[in-house]
Amino acid sequence: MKFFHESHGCSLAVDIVAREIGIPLEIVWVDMQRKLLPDGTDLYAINPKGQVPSLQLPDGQFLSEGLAIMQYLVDQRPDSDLASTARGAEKYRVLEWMSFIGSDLHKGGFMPLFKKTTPDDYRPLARQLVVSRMKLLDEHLADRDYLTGPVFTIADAHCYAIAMWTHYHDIDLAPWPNLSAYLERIGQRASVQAAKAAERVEAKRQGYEGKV
Amino acid sequence: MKLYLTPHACSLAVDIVARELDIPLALEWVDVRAKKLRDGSDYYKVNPKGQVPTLQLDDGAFLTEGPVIVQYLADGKPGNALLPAPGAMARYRVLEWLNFVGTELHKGFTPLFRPTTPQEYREIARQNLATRFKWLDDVLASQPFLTGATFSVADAYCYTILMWSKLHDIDLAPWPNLAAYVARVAARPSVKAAEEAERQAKAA
Repeated sequence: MKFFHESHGCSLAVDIVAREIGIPLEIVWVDMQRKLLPDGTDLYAINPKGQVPSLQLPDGQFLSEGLAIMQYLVDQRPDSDLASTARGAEKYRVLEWMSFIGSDLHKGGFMPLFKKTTPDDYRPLARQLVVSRMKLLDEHLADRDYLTGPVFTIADAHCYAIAMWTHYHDIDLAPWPNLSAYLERIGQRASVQAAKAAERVEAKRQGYEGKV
Repeated sequence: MKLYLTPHACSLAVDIVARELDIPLALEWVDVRAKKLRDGSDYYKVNPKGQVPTLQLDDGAFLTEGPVIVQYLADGKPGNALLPAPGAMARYRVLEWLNFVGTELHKGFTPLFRPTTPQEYREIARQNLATRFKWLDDVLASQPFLTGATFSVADAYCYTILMWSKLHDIDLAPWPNLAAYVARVAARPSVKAAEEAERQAKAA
């Protein structure tokens, strides 16, 4: 399947999940500044919202929205460790964290910091929203390795991809030792290292060196 | 099960879905500004994030996040039309819309609700919403609901958020398909009943 990805975008979470469960994806890197695919095609032609990630399914359809894509992928591999948390009552705990990360941390918190048009007087407010949510995550992680307990889930892949953005906005993780240790723990996973290595190659090719 | 909710909050979507599925919920109204229940107790004890909705499950545990609660409720009634089973492509289409509504629409409105949001950013937030409304209007030009012919949990959520346009004096007239969609969803008995419950809670 073709996977429309952006270096250091929230789509990193999808790549981590695919590598964790062994689903090979053919990465198509998107130039999000110009909203172009590598062959010059307009991104809007495959995603009318102009966003990444998008996944092209075997029948040619496109699926967008990271949360939907990650659930689609784990449901394809019902025997994987990652999918073990995608069933039963625990599933909703995993989804609960993903909803929080996608709405409060990604959209409500970080998104205005990335937008060049965001006025300076709104930035401190957005940073404060990020900080309050980082604190909530840190408190939650005081007595567990991953968001829902001892097992790495799709919610952790998602949280990691978004929390990495603190580096872009010079938000120091030091006040949140549990969160820092958690991100380091995830950063050591083979899936994460492979996904980030792929991102670095693309970032270099596009001419921007990410800090992440 | 007990649903913690607030009139005109995104919790309306959960009440609509429960009524569509014939799942009886006890309604517990929350003063979400003061973070108090009606008996004066602290709402943070129910939901550490201080947000609505929260669903108290039969075992006493609390589940938060509206888009997740509607999945929990619908999955408890297999074979329902509101959310197809895992594995069916139609399910991921519903999830795709749920996520769009939660991130782009819902969180698009959030800065307008916050008194501390500066005026300059309010204009940007309104412009972002107008872009999303245009996209929804295009999609709804050829189908009655977000995923096609059938009302889904994503429509309950989308309707709930679109109703906030009234609170912020955003006229939907430039998007006639979207305006017709809102009227179509508003006519459902589940929606009328859930909105009536909100009116009674406000009057009480």
